[in-house]
Amino acid sequence: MSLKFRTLTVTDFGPYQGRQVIDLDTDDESPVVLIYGQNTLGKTQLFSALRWCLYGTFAHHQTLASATVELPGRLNLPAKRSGTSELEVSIDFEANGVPYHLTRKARFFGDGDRVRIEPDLRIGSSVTPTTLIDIEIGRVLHPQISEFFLFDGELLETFYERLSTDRERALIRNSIEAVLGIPALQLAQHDVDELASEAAKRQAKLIENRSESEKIQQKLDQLADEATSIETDKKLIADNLAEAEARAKDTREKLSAIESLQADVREQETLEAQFNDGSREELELQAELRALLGSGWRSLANAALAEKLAEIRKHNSAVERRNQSILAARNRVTALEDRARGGICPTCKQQLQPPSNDTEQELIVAREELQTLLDETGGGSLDLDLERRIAALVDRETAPRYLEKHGRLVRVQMLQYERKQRLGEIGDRLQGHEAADIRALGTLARQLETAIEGFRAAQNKNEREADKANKEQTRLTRGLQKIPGASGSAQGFEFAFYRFIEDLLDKTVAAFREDVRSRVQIDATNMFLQLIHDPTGYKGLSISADYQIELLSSSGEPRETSQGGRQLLALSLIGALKKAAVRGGPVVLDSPLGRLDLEHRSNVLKTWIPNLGAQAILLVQDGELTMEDANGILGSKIGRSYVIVRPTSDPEVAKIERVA
Amino acid sequence: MSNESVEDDAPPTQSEALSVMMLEAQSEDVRKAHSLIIDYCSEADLKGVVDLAWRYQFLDDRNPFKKDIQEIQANVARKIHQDGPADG
Repeated sequence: MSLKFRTLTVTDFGPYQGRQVIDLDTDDESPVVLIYGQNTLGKTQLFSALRWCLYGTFAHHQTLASATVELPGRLNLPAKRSGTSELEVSIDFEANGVPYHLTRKARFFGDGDRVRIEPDLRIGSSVTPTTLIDIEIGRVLHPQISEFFLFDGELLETFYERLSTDRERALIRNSIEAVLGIPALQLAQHDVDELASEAAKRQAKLIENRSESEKIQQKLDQLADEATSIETDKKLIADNLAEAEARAKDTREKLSAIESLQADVREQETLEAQFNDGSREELELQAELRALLGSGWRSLANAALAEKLAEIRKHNSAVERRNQSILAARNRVTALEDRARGGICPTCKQQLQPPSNDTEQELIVAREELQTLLDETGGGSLDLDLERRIAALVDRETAPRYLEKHGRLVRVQMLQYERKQRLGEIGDRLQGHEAADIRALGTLARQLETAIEGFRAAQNKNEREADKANKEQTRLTRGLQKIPGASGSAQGFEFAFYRFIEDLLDKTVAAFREDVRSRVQIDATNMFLQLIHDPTGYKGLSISADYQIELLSSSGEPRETSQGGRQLLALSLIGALKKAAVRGGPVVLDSPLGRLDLEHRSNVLKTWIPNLGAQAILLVQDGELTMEDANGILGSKIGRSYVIVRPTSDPEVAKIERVA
Repeated sequence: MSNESVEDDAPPTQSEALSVMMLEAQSEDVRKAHSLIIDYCSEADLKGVVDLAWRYQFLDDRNPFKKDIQEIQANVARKIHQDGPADG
């Protein structure tokens, strides 16, 4: 880290009224800035201004709230009396070649007890957002190690004692580790550990899922086998279909060539069937006719019987008419006789008129007519019984039936004749062709069509099965993909990766810590041996992993030291820590020499301070280091010298003047 | 561990941490303990881890760090899928 303060500007801060600028720029040959000031003039105010500007607090462990409470007391009193209500400190510095301009302003309100603090940081020409200012400053000069480069000499006496407590050592260790970035590595390690745990859980789940995915995989394998089998069947069916279609085509072509013969064959088949039926019918009719001849012999006498029957019927009719005429004549005679006798009518019971001559005459005529009729009866009597017997002998059914059957037989025989003729013609045309062959060809064509239909049906079924198998495969594959880790083997490496990184971070932190501890131990030992009056009695310092410090004798045994020795020990450790934490950056020391004797002050100035880095700003009082002593000891190492003076009798006002 | 060159404009402590990490990654016990994965992690991957550790060290929300680390993991996983250890 290359870091150097360029200027410190204070405005109405502490005893410094108005704006006062201290140029702190140094070069490698003259890295020391000396600021002299008597007690109470304002050295520590300048030291506090620098710290406040950087971190917003006036001391290492102070909180921001506590510092804010202190702020009104930091406003220059004469300025305040003249109406000023704000103070400001700004620092210009350069870190890694980049210029930083940091300003912190405090505005007071009301009675001056309400404060608004306005920090402003420009890095190069960029304005840093307020919320990031502390982070940016922390990157270059972390507040936790401020004690090592903003060192208050007043604390030197107690520093060694502080190191005897675990808390302080932890604070020191944590501070230096914070600057070195070890918390960043530890945070990363913690997070990666969490990721490893999550990955481990996922991996456990994977193992759980494995059996499920294996089952699905087995089903998929089975489906793949089925698909292969279906594909084989498909090919076989396609081959068979193609062969059947080829044969069918060939057969159709052959059938087409003998199409007319095929029609003849079909007609022949029909005619033969009809002929056979006709023969059967003919035989049946002949049998029926024979039966009719056996039972219908009487019909041969039908004509004579009919003649006789007509004669008898005529006779009977004539007899019946004559009998009716006789009856009518008798009735007339009887009526005329009754009328001729007179008296009461036997029919109507009325008194009849007396007979006349006419009646007698009519009676004579009626009797003559009756006699005539009776005389004619010699023609025979009524013979109804004979009429019935002859009528019963007449057969009116057999003949028509015979005729009808005979007619049918004749028609059938005619048809059979025609069929025979037609069969003869067809037989002539088919001469030279085997009808059986033609029929077999037709049969083959029909069989082939049936086979083709069968193959097509099988093909469709096959397609459906393949489609079903495909869909099932897709469904199972998707299911498999949804099972974490089923689709790839890198899942298992996730845990391995995080465990590797976590282990590496752990080892890096440990190694980094050990490296820093070792460097601090070496630097602190070197510094101590340079500072101490008689280094031969010491082997050096031993710094444990938790920063417990022991001074070792030349034989390597722990040994005690004096109060002065402890202060040198503290300086050595602070110097080493500063080197480890702030590297080449500046150091600002407020009254660092006050507790040391002259010899050790000289050693500190000659060996310790130049070891601290590229820039050392010392705030000293005459009592600990005069200008003459400083010039004598440091000589050209001094880059700039200032003195804090009181320009007036006002004890609230101080001024910084350049000496050299 | 492959030896990819790493462009380094990081602050010294960060680059020191990376150097320490690289040394640890090359140690025999680490190689033995993580033989399954170590050949797939390049120096750039490890530099990525250190960069992320530094970038997110002041953030309370650790999710962005985890997300970016997972990307590095995914990158390593891709290399595993391609079955090609890091070669420089």
